[in-house]
Amino acid sequence: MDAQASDPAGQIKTLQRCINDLVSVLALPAAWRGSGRPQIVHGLLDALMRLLRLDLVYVRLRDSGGAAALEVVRVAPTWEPTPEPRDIGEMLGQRLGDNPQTWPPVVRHAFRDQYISLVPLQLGLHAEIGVMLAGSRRDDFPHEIEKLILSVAANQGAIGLEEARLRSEQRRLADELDERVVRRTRELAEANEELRREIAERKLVEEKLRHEETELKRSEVNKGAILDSALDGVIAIDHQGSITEFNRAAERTLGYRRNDVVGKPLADVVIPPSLRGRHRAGFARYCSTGESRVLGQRLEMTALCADGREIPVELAITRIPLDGPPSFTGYLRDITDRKRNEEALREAHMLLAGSEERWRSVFENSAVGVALVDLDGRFIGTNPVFQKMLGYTAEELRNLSFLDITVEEYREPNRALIGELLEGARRQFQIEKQYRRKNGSLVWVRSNVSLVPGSERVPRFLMAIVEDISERKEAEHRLRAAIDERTRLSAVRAEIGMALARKGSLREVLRACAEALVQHLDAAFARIWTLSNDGTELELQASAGMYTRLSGRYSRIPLGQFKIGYIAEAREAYLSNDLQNDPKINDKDWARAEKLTSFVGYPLVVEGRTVGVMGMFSPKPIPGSTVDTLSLLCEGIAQGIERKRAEEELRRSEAFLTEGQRLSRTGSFSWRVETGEITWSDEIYHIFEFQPGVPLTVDLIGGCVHPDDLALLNDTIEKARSSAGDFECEHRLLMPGRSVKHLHLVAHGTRDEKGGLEYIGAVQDVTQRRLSEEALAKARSELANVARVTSLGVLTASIAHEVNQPLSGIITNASTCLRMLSADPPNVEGARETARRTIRDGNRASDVISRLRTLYSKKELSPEQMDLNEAVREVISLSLREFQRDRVILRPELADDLPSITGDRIQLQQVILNLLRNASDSMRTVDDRPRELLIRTEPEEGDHVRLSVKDSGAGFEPQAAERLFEAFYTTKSTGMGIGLSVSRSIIEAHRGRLWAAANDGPGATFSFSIPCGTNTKVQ
Amino acid sequence: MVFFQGGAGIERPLVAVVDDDESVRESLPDLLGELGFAASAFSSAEAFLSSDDIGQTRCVVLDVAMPGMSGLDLQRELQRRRQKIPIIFITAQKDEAIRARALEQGAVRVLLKPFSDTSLLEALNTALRAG
Repeated sequence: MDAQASDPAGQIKTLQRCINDLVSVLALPAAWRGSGRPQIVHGLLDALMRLLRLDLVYVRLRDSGGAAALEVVRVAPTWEPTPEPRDIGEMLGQRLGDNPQTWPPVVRHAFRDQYISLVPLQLGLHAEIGVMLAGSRRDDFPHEIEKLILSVAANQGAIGLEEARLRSEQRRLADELDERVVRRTRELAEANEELRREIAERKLVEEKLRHEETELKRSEVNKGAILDSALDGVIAIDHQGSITEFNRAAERTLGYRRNDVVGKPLADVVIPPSLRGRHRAGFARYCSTGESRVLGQRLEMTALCADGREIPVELAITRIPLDGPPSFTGYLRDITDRKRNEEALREAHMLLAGSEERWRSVFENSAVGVALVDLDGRFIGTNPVFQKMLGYTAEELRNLSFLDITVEEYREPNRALIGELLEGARRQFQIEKQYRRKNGSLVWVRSNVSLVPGSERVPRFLMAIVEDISERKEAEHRLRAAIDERTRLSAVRAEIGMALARKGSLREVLRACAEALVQHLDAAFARIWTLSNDGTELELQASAGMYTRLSGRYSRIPLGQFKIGYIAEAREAYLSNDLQNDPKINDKDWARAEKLTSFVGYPLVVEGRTVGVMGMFSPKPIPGSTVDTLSLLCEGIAQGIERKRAEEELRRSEAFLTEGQRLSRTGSFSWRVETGEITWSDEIYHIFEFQPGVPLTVDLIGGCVHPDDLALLNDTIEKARSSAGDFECEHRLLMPGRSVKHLHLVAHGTRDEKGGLEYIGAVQDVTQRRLSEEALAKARSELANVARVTSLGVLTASIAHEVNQPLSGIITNASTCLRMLSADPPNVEGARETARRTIRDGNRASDVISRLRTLYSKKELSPEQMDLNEAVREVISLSLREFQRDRVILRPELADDLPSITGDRIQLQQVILNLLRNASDSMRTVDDRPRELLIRTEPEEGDHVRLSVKDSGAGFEPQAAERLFEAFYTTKSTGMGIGLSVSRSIIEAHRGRLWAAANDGPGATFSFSIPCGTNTKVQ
Repeated sequence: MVFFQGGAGIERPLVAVVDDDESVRESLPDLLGELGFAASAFSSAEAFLSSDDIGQTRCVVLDVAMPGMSGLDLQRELQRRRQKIPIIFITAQKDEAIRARALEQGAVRVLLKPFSDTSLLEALNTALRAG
């Protein structure tokens, strides 16, 4: 395992290797199944040495449940001299202490002058199983992936070891139980054997007795000899109960002498006093009725010996079949020994019964199933656990063979093992197999079978200790499935992760995701839709598996329609593992034809917003683990979509920005003041006509600046360097071809986290705007001129009057002068006077004409210092005739303290004239009131002056207030409708404003306000 | 052809000049004097009407546009007073409507300023002949 690589390909390789290693580690417990603790530890250490570049791995296991403590170490062959496990164990105790909970994640330790990084790990949640230590002399050890692998390995090791411990514990218990059962069974069999022997002995004695009796009957003659030689005592009595015979055996047994007792009543001698009453009564009953309870019977009773002892005897009484009064013979045997034996036997029986009880208790209460099976396989006995395990009653089982309930595939191996058992090839065997329960379900069992040796009475039988291992099997199965599933899901996650990370369009990325889902999750096909920007429709972006086309019925799905639309709308996943019976699935015929049984659909949600839906059909049920993983995967896919969209959006907005910069001839730049580092967008390079990418310096840039603007620009930059404020300026570039560009520069100063000053700004090429502004100014000036000429045209009467009046005076005076000189005598004095007047009127005419010429002239106008009141008076004087003719009463109210202003005198006079003319015109139809016209000037706050023209005319409709200023809008029957529009543009050029307002009474007031300052736009 | 040539001993016909323009009031009476007329000058129509000379006035040289009563107003006023004094209008403004109105109301001539001494004399002769 290499350290994490920095390049993407290396990272992917590292990740793949990490996943491979993880899978290897995850699969370890599967490989350890059935192994003991040492094998597991060795396996774990070998695997870690193989997977990671380690110099040392060490494991110490605690002793537990009979398993001894264990210490194992693996050391890289390159490390000499190899440390002993004990050294490491000691180091562990010294360096880390006894409480693993307090261990640091990594420790550095010197082993014989070599430094090694050690990662201590706990086996088990609280190191109850043991500890593990991994070490490497590498400086980069452990990096993140190694830490991950080590912690997973420790975890897997703990699982494997715990399983092994449980397994060995279980095996030990089962063996112990087996052994106990065999021992008890053997004891039982031995006791039985004893019993059988005893019974056989007794039978032999009885046989012999019977034989002797027959002999006696057969030969009366040999009676005495027989009697004497008889082993049993023989006592004969007559019909009165008196003793007639008493043989030697009887003498030996009872201690009486024959001569002492013959003739005496039996009841007085041999019968113990406690029994004498019953004896007499029985004897009398027999004598009178012939009924006997004792005759022909073998009785056990007590007899009274000569020394007064009472001993147990067995007594058989026969009637001697002779004619005449009856006589009886009693055969008597001392059974003291036998009785003692019998007692012992009874005790043995009782012991046996107790042991049997105990055994039965074990049998009945055992936690495991126990079945006793005869050699034909029939159940002889079963315990409740076994019965419960299989769902049969004891009776039902007694009619079954174990083969009947063993699942087919295990029958043959089972039979073979029993064969080996019977042949003596093995003492016992263990088999894991499945039984079929009464209800048909299967149960996994482990059966420990041993042969119980029989006796003559008890045949051999098989005893099976049966353990339900369904849970374990299920767990194993689940573990295996989980490992498979985990491996599969890791693969699909890795693949989808890679798909999402790779470059490409959204569709390409989503197709790779869909393909990964199909490939790894056994799907028939998988599809991914994304939600349209307006959120109304799902658009199919990717389809993999059976269907790959993106057109068709489901290519665009309205929100809420079909299953997919519903999932997106409700933001709920949908899983159906039974499509045929799912009421919400429409295309059942299709699903049947395509053999699809399952569907899962997931909303793709990012931060509570639905961005799409993933849908997947599968030919087999989709397990829960897959569903869980899908939810993770879908989260990833949703984020992928979001990221992709954001990337595309970013790319688009970058493209827009570039395009926008290109179109608006605006470039952006940044300037780090401390380092002088300047970055330009492509458009600035374009504006400066530099090759993109040339290194930028202040000098290089300065070389392009128009010499006249250099000082301005330097000044601006100097100010920017010293203060972090924003700045803005306009300057020109002098291009190589002597052409001039106008640039508008705006910058915003920011400070980075280190306090460094950086300006971010924009440069716009405003050449076109400047040129068009100049053109506009020129056009406006021309238009103003046209308007002026038009206005003056209206003043023809006044102009004619003004000019003709002095002309008239000149001609009259000149005529008079001539006549005076022609008179006889010539009136020289009169002629001189008229000539003088002629000159005066000529000057007057000249003044008028020069004033008119100024108004008409088209020379370039420029702002000047001027008195607005004076300008008003001049306009009034030009218009006075008109007002007189139109009967307009003009009332000037000109403020005395009006400050002088800077403006274009002629243009402002044009505006004033225009306002006065309009006011006069608006009153032309007024006859019911004075045609009053007020013109007023006044200073205004903020260094402005205001001029108002108030009439008492027709006024205007409120909604027309703004239209009045539009070009070619007019309310007059004559006029072009450009006067107010031109006036407004003139006032705005003076940075002022012109507006109209309706009066409280009749008429309207037009006003303008302009600043007194110099800052006019007029060129 | 001149019917009345001014000369000593002969009573000169009185011509009134009514004009708000001072230069006219200055120059025109001098010219009228050279042409053999007696002249009086008034700066407004109202001043003329209130003068004692109306009865002796043989002709009025009248400006059209004046503050207060206009020339036409004065013409109508004189007619109303049955003062049959011939009127010669003088105007600095060429206005056909005014000219037509003046002639309609009985004006002898409407002269456009500046006018020559001969056209004034011709108009005066016509007026005196009519008067």
